[in-house]
Formats: sequence, structure tokens, C-alpha cells
Amino acid sequence: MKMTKLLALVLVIALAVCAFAACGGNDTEEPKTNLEGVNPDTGDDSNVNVDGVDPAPVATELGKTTLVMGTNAEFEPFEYRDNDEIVGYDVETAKAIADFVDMDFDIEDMAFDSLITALNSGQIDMVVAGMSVTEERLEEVNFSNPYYRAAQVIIVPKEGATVASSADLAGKKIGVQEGTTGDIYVEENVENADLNRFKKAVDAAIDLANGRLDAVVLDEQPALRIVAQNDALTVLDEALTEEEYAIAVRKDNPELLNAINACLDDLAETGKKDELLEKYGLSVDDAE
Amino acid sequence: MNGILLWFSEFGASFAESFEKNLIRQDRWLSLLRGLGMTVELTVGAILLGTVLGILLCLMKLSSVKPLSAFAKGYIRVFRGTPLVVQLLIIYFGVFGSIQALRFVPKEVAAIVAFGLNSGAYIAELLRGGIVSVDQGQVEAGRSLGLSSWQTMRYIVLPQGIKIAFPTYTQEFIVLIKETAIAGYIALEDLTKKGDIIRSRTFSPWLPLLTVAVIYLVITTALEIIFGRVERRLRESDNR
Repeated sequence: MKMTKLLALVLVIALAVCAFAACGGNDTEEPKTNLEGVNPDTGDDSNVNVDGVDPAPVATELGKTTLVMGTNAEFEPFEYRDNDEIVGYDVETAKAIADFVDMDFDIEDMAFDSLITALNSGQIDMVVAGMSVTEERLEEVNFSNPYYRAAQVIIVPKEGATVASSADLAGKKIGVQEGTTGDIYVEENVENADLNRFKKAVDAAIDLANGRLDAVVLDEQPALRIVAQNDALTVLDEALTEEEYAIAVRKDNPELLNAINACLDDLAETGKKDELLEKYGLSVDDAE
Repeated sequence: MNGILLWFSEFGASFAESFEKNLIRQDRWLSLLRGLGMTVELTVGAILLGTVLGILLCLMKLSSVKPLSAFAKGYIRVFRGTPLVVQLLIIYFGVFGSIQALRFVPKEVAAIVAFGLNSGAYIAELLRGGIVSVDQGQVEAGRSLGLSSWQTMRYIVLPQGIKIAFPTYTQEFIVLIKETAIAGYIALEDLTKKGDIIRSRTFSPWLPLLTVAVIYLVITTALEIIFGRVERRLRESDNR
């Protein structure tokens, strides 16, 4: 008798989920209107500037006055905490974008693996987090033009390392940051890896330093910063992947995407980008 | 409101497609099952350690030897008064991470120790609650029948106290199942973490976590039913 009740409960939950699904289906078909009641898709865009982009429709498209950047501030030098304030190359770029579209600016700091979910659920408006463009991510979001070339590298202990190249990774204890391209690389390319997925790359580095892991696979720049702060660790001179960082936006925000691309071009042309690269110790050769 | 509607719009893509992507593709359901195995391992390990510790701490706290009861009091205060996730991080990164001999102990063990130490504090208190709620007259009756104070405890107070404490004890077991969900903080892949990993691959806000929630719910509900039956059987003797 109790079992039937249990079964009924499970069915009720299944029904609720289906109801949500149906609701979602209807929702996307509703005509989009913003706060002013203007349909942004067919909105008037006669007010175009030199780059062919008018910043004003972005606020209209988003239906608010604050542009929210989503990031994971554990990724020096792109985004990190300096006395509790979030700073970095990506943060300054994002601020420039907010200025460009004449909106207020705010940052949401969250787990890296939650960024795309948060973007698509509207909690943030763009992901600026040293996020590499991948096929899987492109299915969910749109990416701006790439702004930095990146690679996954291997961090090992200076002494007693059991890994000397990517060929040695098989069967080893490897630390990664959950949901990053390093995580996916190891999962798909390394046989029998004992994969340890941390929420923060720094926690993986701590476990590497105290000998619990054989290697950590991480983006090159943050890896170099971690090694610079930890005498016991070093980075192997081998790039596991070729990647490009870009800014992610929702698929239904074409105006924002245009504005971001125009702003990135603007930063490059005015020399502001080179200034930022230099300020954060990044190589101009890897910028694009 | 807009955000909520957008969450729902994830389901605009048909439910079946989402189901395929999040559970069938790459045998992801299997990965959830493995995570469930880890959750069970952690819970069972922790409840065993917690029960042994809880009994010891409870006896210490009830003891008339001052240092013992003071230690138990302090222990219970510390472990009940701080967040479990902080305890887990301190035990894994701090205790197990900095003591050379413990460094290479599998992290499951570190997690079981953390959950067990915490659970011990709660179990000590719920056992003590059961024991002290046995009427003082029972003790007096036992003593006046010529039983020693240990015999009175063993044959009269404990059987009744344990019966009183049983429902809270089973509740602690159910709470533990849910609390092990923070094991992901130390990169252990329990049920919650597996769902989270699927979410980090498919970017679906609903299905991976809802599936995880339903699995927890089925397990805790099944346990409530089983424990409820045992409890009723324990109560049968009361109605004579």
C-alpha cells in the first residue's frame, strides 16, 4: 500500500516536470516585449554609429539599465580578487563594454561550471571569464570574436614528478577545475585517469603541492600565476590544446553581441587593449 | 519573473531531448548510479563511526567524572556549533592534508571521518535525550530491587532510553544522506556532484539536478517507511 503511495509521488513529480516543459514551450513563442512595450526584434534602429552599431538598443534588448558580467574570480590575471575587489583583464574589458553601451555595471562571481546556466536563465548578461569557445558551448550560447589565445598546460611538482609530458597522464591522479576545458580534455583524452574535479583550481594546486595528485591540468596563464606563488610547483612546456577565449551572450541578444564585438574592435584600435595586456602581464602575441 | 520564464524556456526544447542529452548520452545515468554508490558509502561509513562515537560521548557526558563530561560537552559544542562544510574542509585540507601519515588516505575516508565526527555529536545528544527522559522512578525501582547502578542502566534505563531515542536516530541517518551532498567540495563524486558534473557538460538547469533530487527523495521516503515500521513494532510492547 505504501509502495503505491510512493509510486504516486514519483508520478506527481514527473507530471510537474512535464508541466514545466509545456510552460517553457509556450513561453518562447510569446512575442517578446521589453519594459517600454517595444519589440526589440523589429525595433527602430535608424540611430546607427560609425561601427554600424548603436549602443542604445542593448539596454532596450535587455530591458534594464545594468549590464551584469558573470565570472569566476579565481582566474588570475583575467579575473581575481584583490583585497576582496574583483579585478583583472576581463573585468576591465567588461567595464569598457558597459561604458560603450552606456549602462551601469555589475559583477556576479560564481562557480565556473554554473556560468552558462546562469547566463541562459537571465541572472547574468554576459560571461567574461576566460571562457574558451567550444562546440558544446556554442550549442547553448553565442560567442563574441575571440580576444585571447589560450592553451591547457600541465602543472607538476618540481621534485619527484611522475608526469613529464601528456603521454604520462594515463592512469594518474589528475586535478582539474570542474566544467573547464581542462576537465573535458582529461575526460576525453586521458585513459584511466583518476579525475579530481575541484570547484577552484587553487584547491587542485593545494592537493598537488601536498602530494595527493600527480598533475593538474589548467589554462596556461592562471597556471603560471599559481606556480609563481608556489615554489614547489612548475608548469610543463607543452600545450595540450589550442583554444580561444571569447565573451558569451544569450542567443536572443544579437544587439549585445554586436555591441561587444564593436567594443572589442574599438579597444584594439585605440590601443587600450595593448595597455590592458601589459598591465596584467599578458603576451600581446597571444591576443587577437 | 523574466528569469523564471527563461528557466522554463529551457524546457522549450522537448523534454525527451533533454532527457536523452542529460541521462542517456555517454551513459550519464550510469554515472549518477556510481555517484549514488559513493553517497551510500559515505552515509553508512559515517553513521557507523557516528554511532560508536555518539555512544561513547553520551556516556562521557552523563558520567560523574568531571574531565570526561567536560570533554564531551566541549566536543558536542564545537561540532554542533560550526558548519559541517567548514569541518569537512578543515579535516580534508587541514588535518589529513598536513599530517604526513594521513596525506595519502583515500579522500572517501577523510569525508567519512568528517561526517562521522559531526554525526557523533548529534547522536550523543539524541541518545542522552532518550536516556534522561526515562523516569527517575525507574532508576529508584531498579536500585531498590538490589540491582547495581550499572545493572539498572543496562537492563532498565538503556532499553527504554534507546526506544525513545530511536525515531530521532533514524532521522539523523536520513539527515546524513542529504548532508553528504557537500562531499563535492573536496572533489569527491557523490550523487550531487555527479549531477553537477552533468550540468557542467549539458548546461541544463533542470534535468540533472531534478533527477538527483528525485533519487534522494525516493531513498529518504523508502527509509522513512522502513523505519516507521520498525518504530511501530518497537511500540507494540507499550500497549500491553
